[in-house]
Amino acid sequence: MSDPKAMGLETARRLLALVPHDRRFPVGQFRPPSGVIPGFVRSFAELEFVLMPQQRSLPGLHMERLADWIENDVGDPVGAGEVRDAAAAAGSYVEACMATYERVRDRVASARRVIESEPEARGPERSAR
Amino acid sequence: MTLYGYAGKILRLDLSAQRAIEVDTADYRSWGGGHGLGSALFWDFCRNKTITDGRDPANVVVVTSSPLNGTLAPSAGRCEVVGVGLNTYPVHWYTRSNIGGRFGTMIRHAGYDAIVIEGKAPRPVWVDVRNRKVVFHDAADLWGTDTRTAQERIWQKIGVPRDVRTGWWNLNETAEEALDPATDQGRTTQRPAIMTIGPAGENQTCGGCLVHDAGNVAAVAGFGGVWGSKNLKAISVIGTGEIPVADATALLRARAIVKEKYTSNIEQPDFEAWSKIGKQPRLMAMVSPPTDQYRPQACQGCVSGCRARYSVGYGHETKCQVTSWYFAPSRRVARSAEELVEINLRAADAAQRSGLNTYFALTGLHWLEHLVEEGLLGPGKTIHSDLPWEKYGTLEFAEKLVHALSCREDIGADLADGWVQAAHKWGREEDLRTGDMAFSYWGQPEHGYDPRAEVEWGYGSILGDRDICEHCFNIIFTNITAAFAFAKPMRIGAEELVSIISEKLSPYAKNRPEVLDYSDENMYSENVAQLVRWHRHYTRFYKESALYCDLRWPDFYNTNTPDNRGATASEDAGEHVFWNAVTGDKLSFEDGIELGRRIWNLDNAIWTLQGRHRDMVKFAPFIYETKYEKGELFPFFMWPCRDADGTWVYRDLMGRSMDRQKFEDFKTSFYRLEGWDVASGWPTRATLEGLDLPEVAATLDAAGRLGKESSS
Amino acid sequence: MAPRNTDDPNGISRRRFVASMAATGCVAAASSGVLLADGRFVIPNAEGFLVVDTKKCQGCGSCMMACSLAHSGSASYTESRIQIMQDSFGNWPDDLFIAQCRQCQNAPCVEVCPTGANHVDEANGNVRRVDPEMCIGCRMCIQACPFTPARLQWDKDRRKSQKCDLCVDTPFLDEKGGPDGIQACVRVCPVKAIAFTREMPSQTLTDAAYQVNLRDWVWKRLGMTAE
Repeated sequence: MSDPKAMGLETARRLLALVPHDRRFPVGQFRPPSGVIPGFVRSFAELEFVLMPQQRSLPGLHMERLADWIENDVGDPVGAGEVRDAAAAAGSYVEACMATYERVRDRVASARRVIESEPEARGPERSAR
Repeated sequence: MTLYGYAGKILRLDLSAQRAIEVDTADYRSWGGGHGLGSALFWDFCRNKTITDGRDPANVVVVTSSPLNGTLAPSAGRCEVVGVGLNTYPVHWYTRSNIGGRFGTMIRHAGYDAIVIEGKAPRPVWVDVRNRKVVFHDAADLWGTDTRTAQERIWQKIGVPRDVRTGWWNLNETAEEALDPATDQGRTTQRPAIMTIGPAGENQTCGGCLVHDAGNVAAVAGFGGVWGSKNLKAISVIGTGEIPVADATALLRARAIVKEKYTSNIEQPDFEAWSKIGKQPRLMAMVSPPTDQYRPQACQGCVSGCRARYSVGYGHETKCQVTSWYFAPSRRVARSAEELVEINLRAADAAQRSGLNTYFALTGLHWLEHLVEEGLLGPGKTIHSDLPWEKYGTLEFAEKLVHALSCREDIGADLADGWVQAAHKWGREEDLRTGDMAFSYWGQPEHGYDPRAEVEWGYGSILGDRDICEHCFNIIFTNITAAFAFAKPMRIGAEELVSIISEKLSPYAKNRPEVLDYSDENMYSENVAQLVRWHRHYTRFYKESALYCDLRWPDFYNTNTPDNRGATASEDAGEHVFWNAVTGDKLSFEDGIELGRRIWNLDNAIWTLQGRHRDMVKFAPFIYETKYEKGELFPFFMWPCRDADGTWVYRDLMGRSMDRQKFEDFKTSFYRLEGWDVASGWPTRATLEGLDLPEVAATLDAAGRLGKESSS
Repeated sequence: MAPRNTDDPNGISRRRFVASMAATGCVAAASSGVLLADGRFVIPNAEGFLVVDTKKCQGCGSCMMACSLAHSGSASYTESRIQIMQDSFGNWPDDLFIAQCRQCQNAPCVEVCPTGANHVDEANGNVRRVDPEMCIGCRMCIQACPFTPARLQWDKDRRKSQKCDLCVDTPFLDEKGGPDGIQACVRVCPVKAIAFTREMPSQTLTDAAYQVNLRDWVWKRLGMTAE
């Protein structure tokens, strides 16, 4: 489990920022039996939604490449290591997704806490509605 | 003589003259119903079958029911629409679409088996059909309304009680009418079934849908835009007629067998059963439900509802891709899982109300984002757009995008005439080569079952007229891929599975499991050509004419039964069993396949008259020039394959591309098996006459487009 | 749901008919009803009832189709003895209503019938049912039904009233119907939103006692509330 105190402001910003479009990471969503929906993510926060366990659908992503993307494109070698370890210990793809979700969720929460603790670092809240 | 299973009449709506004409269904009985009936009616009443623009006033759109609609045949409540569409590239092919709900059933209670829409009304109209009384109404006050408002206003005009508990309402216009047995229209508790268009249809966009009730949509063909071009806002049908059934006892018995033998017991269900017909009702939304306060909602006669009506007041009856067309962008802004669901269901409602097809978003939305990020699209850019791209992912943006696409505003002005057409206009052909614009077949977006992996889907789409959206074999992928994902043991091993399925692939591939070998070595083979033939013919009759639901049929394998055999083609609850019980026919399962072949050939004759040639039958360049990358959608894409030693295994098919020449060779095999000219892909006289279609052969001959007979 | 006045001052009510028959000693021949001295019309209780879960129903209409097929051999919504009414745009649970015959204890439809066509079938669990041979098509039973919508149907082609008989008279069903057999609607419902019970629900002028919760752990596991 990550120690939020160990996360610096720069890492927190990188985790919550969008990577350039040409560094997007492809993800799908598999909902048997209706199908697979394509998509991609450009941030850790989006990744959290992709991996969030749902009752009847599965995230679709390439685990090894995900860790590489986190390390090289997002710039979070610590998070990448956690994801690699979690995926390697899992007994199935679904278990790997769930374990990865927990790591990603914790990293996002840590990053948000770091940002919150730095008032000048906070940007305007973006409304979804 | 009683025409079992039919209302007995077909309604022709001459919009130009605002005239209703009746035709006897008996004259078209040999075509069965649905698509077959529609193609035959199109052939007879479309005077210019060379048109390649769905907006041409000569275009004819046929809305057709099946003898099985409303009869208890399980999950056979769909309604078929055929005609020249608006949503293909490079030309608008004669095509089809399909819609659920109550419309197909209610047409029949109103006295008709099909409605043929011809000409163009001088001004917007809607049509009121009640027990074979047909009235054209001015639609000035409906034009511009969304699909929900239009339906609610029509119900109000007709005088339908608003409250579901209000009860019976009288179809008679006067008290005297009710007293005379000859004129009594009877009464009903049901509200009229209405098919309507929204702004996307009125503005004649390629995304224009036909919408019925809250979430039933005929989308992919663009028939909403065709109705818009004809100034037809809506058709309302209601009636109190009954449909004669040849053998109600057999029908009731077979339905009970589906429940008791093929369906998992709802009191102790097998939630993970491998079956299509034998599942419990389960919401088919791509996002989680917003609440547990909802009911499953089903089309008429369905054994297993896949949609929902919720307590929260949004997302009603919407399922599948529509519920997640905005999923990827919304992930960027949502602050909670609940908000993510609400944005997506409200975005779905926006599209349903506007009558806009959302399939463009499968890959098209990513392409637009690509153009924005490349600095090509936006305010003052090469492709000018004033849409608030900085709010991409919000509900506000979704609603503005839906509006723009529906009303030909902003980028919608170009995209309304086709996405690939717009790519060419914008000079972005390269994106079809790289796959940044993943529109695989006939200018339609990749469905997610990439032709490079799931070959029968891609081949069927490009050899026909549209993204087939027929999940007959796709269930193999979903079952085994899910099992792999969870590292669960396979419910049915590869060898047993292909053996069971091939038992039912009569006549072309009966007991030939090799047709289900999706390996690199077999993907262009004559084996697969036979599989694709069977699929084209099965669907043309059983799925699109008998109108069995795509999500419930065919039921090849079924772990609810002791021997894992499904209901399809069975003698106790097979597709043909219900057909025969309703119509009195003595159809074998194979007879239905043969009727499907006849319909498929008639369709090819129409495409041929429209100008099709085998040289046009090709995928978008990226299918040949790039690989289907692992992880692009999912980490693996499992299908049955044979190893070098002949052992059947489930294997991951990601990572391959399509070989252009080998696909051309495959087409040659397919055309030869179909009895079509391998040089052109056109039907030959021998083939057409063998299907009792001599007049079709004569028409092609006169047009100089009859295929040459094979010399061998 | 407002109850209707079941007394038709201008018609020949069942009560008046029984009273007049009683005067001539013909009560037994006319019906199973007994007119008590205080004017109450008493009939034996039915031995079977249909209850429904309107929150569970998936609106597929299969029960309506099965009903008309089992009784008449054709597919008709209008002639179904059970009616499912829906508003596609309504919110759960008020988007759908099921109207099934309640096999009422006092059965105003039986009481009002002038010919005894609408009667209590003592041989089949006291089911209230219409004998089509005796029905003269006066529709008084339909008007007498105190519920909305009325639980009797008008067959416009045969000019008769009809109602739920718990499948006693189902020539197209190859199984025994009725209180001691099966009911087509119960049998066909894919989600078990209709149930047969021998316990008479509370007799009120609302449908509340006939609307029950048939949802269980399976329903909850499927993602929907069982509350």
